[in-house]
Amino acid sequence: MSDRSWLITYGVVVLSLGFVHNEFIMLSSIIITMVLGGKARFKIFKKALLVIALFNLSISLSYIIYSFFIPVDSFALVLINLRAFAITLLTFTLVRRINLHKALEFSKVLAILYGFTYAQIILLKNMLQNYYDGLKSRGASLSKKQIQPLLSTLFATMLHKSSEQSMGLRSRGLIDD
Amino acid sequence: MHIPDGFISPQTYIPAIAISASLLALAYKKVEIDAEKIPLIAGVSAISFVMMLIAIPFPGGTTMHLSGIAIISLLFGPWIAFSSISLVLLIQALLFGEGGITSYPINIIAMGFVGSFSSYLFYKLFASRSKNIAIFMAGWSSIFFPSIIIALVLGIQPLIASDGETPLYFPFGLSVTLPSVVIPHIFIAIIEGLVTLSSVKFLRTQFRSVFGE
Repeated sequence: MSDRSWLITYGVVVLSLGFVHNEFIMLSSIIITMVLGGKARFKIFKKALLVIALFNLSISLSYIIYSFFIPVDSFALVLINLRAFAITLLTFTLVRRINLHKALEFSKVLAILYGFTYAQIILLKNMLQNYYDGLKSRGASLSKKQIQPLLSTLFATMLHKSSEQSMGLRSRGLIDD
Repeated sequence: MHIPDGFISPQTYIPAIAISASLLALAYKKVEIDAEKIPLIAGVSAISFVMMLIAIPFPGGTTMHLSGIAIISLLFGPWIAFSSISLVLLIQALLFGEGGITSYPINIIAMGFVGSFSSYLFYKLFASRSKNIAIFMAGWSSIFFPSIIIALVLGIQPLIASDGETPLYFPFGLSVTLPSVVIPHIFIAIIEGLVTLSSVKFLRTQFRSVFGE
């Protein structure tokens, strides 16, 4: 199956899961996704679990506290969390299995945009990390005074890289102006 | 502010897909994608992504993360900001699970579209009186208005998608979501306004030839 077909299948399954209100179907979907995850399945499972814990825990806890005062159906809580987990697991499995850049090749602009954005994110994220490491090695932490020079460096790098990439695109005739 | 997966019903996200796709198509036309704009949008997206990682220290040992929506909107215009924030939200959802895929269209309408355009319009509204107030209001509105949209979308879920008394998606109604989402964001928006003010002024001075008015 091509990367593009995986992406389309993923879209259809995710949209369909929104209509499902049966916890057994959700569990089956989680099991199938884990099978598809290959060797990385437990790593992906752990990552999805962490994300659900981070973003859904406050809502789940509020609902449990709410249930002390007003009788509620605990099925709702199980269903919401199972659905969230099934979709998140599916998303992480897809990203692990396919090459997103290849999957987006049906649109040249989209594929280039994704590639450039990802490359710049890695570059700027590393710069930010180095900046934090530099501060840490000097026993300092980020203060309000340091935000402006940090932003200045990030913007200067981004503008320089963008103009470099633009010249690259033009010289290779990849985009017709 | 990102809505995760599993909280939103298809009755909400299917129309939202149609609206967000139309907005993205319009943005594609308005931005007039060419060899210069593609790397610029990619760069702006990357910088918004990284700005969201910068934790700003506040008294009492707390920190807050920049959203950067207003900064991007004021420096590059609302359509580029909307396209870039949409791209950032997609990468966050796919790679980091921050914000869901089913809720992605709502997140881009609220944060990308409403955030970018409210900041741009508020800036225009106040710019004739005072540039500083205008930039602050732009930052403030880029957080405040999206939070209202998010609270409304979450709060209507029990009304439109329940099985009798059992909620099938987000379980709390508007009486809970409006105060719990909007009230904290009024204060977060003030901080965002202050950070936007100092950052935009600094960047406009530092990169006068690129961002100068």
